Amino acid sequence: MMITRPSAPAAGENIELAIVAQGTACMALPELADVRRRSIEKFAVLRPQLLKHSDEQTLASLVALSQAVDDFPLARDFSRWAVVSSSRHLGRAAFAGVVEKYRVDGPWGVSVQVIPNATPHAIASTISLALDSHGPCAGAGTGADDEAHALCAAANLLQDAECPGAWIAFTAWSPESAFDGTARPGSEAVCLAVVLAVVNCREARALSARAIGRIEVGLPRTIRTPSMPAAPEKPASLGLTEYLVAHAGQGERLCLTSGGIRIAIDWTGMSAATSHRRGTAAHDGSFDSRHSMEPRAVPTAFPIR
Amino acid sequence: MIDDQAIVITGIGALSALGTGFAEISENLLAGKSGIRAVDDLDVVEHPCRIAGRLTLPACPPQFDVASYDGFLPLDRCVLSCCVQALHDAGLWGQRQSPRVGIVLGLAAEWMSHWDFHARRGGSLLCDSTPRRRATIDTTRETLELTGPSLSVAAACASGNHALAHAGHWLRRGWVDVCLAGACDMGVTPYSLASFGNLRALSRRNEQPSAAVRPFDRDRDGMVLGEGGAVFVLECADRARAEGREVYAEVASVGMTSDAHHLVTPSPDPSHATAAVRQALAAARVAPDEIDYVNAHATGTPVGDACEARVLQAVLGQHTRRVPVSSTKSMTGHLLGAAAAIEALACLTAIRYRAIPPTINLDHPDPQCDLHHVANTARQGVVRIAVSNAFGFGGHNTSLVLRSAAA
Repeated sequence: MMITRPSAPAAGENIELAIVAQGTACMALPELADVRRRSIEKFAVLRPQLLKHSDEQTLASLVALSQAVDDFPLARDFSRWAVVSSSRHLGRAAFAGVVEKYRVDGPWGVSVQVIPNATPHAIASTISLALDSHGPCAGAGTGADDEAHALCAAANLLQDAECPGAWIAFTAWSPESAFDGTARPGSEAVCLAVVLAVVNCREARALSARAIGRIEVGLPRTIRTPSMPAAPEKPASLGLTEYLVAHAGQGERLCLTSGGIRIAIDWTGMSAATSHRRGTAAHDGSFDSRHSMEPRAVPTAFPIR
Repeated sequence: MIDDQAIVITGIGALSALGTGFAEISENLLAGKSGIRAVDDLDVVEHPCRIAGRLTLPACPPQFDVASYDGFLPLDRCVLSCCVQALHDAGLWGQRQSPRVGIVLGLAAEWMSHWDFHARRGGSLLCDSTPRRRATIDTTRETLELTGPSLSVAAACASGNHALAHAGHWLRRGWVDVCLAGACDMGVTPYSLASFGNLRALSRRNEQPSAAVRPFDRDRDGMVLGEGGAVFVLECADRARAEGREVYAEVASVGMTSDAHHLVTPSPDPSHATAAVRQALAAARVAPDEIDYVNAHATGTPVGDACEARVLQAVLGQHTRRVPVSSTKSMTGHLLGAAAAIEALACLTAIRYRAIPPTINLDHPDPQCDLHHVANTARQGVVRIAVSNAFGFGGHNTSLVLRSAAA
């Protein structure tokens, strides 16, 4: 629920969110096919029939979500949580398939599944289904470097007391492949996903005390270095999703500006009580060069059926 | 009297099969005109549904360079046209760079729209590894030279209500002085007509286009796609008053829940949709007996309309037989990602003109949809509180409450 007259925050103030759990995935096509075929035991409602038509970015987000749920520090009732997803060109392969199918078979060959599964809300909707979350649910941002939209949307939703937390999913192919007639991503491409569980620092003190990181969302003029000293700018050539897959939870800081929104992310202030959880979120390798990072396998802790 | 911190609408821009701008669309809504026609500019001979509420995009607004404008894809042009209209309507066009004007757009299928347009013209946007075009929200912000932040959200047919909610947050937080908010969609294409047609969601009354969309009627056989959208200028009431701007209505609240049921099929359990409407009413401090009009999401599908009727019966209770309900999709078609925005406009029509737009083609109300219908002709009456429901694929449930400035 969004109310239009809550207790008014001070004009221009930033929103501070605590990251309380996170998961990442970096998967090649064969691994994604395995998830599609076997589903994920933890999310029993997502039967293989339901995942049959899911986009690969959706499947990767579910793997990251599974890891994040394991990482979640307290009781797991997500029934009122919001879900926001930011995908990069979700459904491009599926739509290329539609165009080809239409060319060959005419209108009767077009799948009824492509629109519901390949439009930007689909990842958020699938996650809400997996977690039985009935809070607000939406996609945000649609193109390259649009991850800030999802952070901003989640920050807005968490201003409502009805919404105790938000799941945020970022997904992308890296690199974006050129399609040939098969309408499939190239074999060199990997599908990346990052899922964060965030709460409003002011409203959810019990959870935010166990935070593994924090995010500030504001305007360029209101987020300045005092709040995030020495936070480097995200390199323009690197998407936030790529950065997070490589660096989330590794004790770093980062700032970025997109669409007039300023985001600062900080993993440096973890408490001793939460530091043991770093291991689940740590990653190897940097993302300075895509080819320097080996695609991470499906986490072994994640049971596949 | 609206209080100072209320979020109010002071400008409207809109395009649909019923015309351009608030006045023309309102006139046609109140006249009960259908915008549904045979699709004669696309090859849809083999499609199960060959009718739609098509939009003729307006020519380049005089504010823009024609060559640049022609380079924009149809969805971009639709968005720009609505934004320009809205800023002019609010008297803000010439000042759009001095206050911080932000923009929040509901864009439910942006890239699909662009890929589709390119693919039909033999373009390579869909298959390129490095998409050469920017997102619509970025194009719009830059073209309009806005100085505030921008956000695009996608919640299927509920996208427009999500956009209004986010804009409200920015205004209350002081991140923007003024915010453009709304949604547009250009979803009438051979591929979407095929996909929705194969889902058996579309009407097959191809020989009677204007009678095809029949929400709540026992003979309804599906929806008909439409195109267009609406963008609103939102600002805080105190600023609107200080600037001497005319107020259309207050955006009193938006309720939002999720079914978490299925990506395609609607939930048989109406409780989460009911919760969205109840949340919106509670946040706006409106009791069911205070509602003067409900613009239903009702698309004209057999299952969806009956399900929404159960939601409204649950929310309205004993007042079900008093509160007027209509579905303006019977005239505009279903604008998909822009449905919530154009239906917010229909509520503003009811508030401004003191007349409720009807559900046309409602000749034999379905007993399963037992509501207080405004059937076939507009109904006169003061509307102080209007509620607009928007539900979407993936279980997105939203409900918007608009309050008359005179309430």
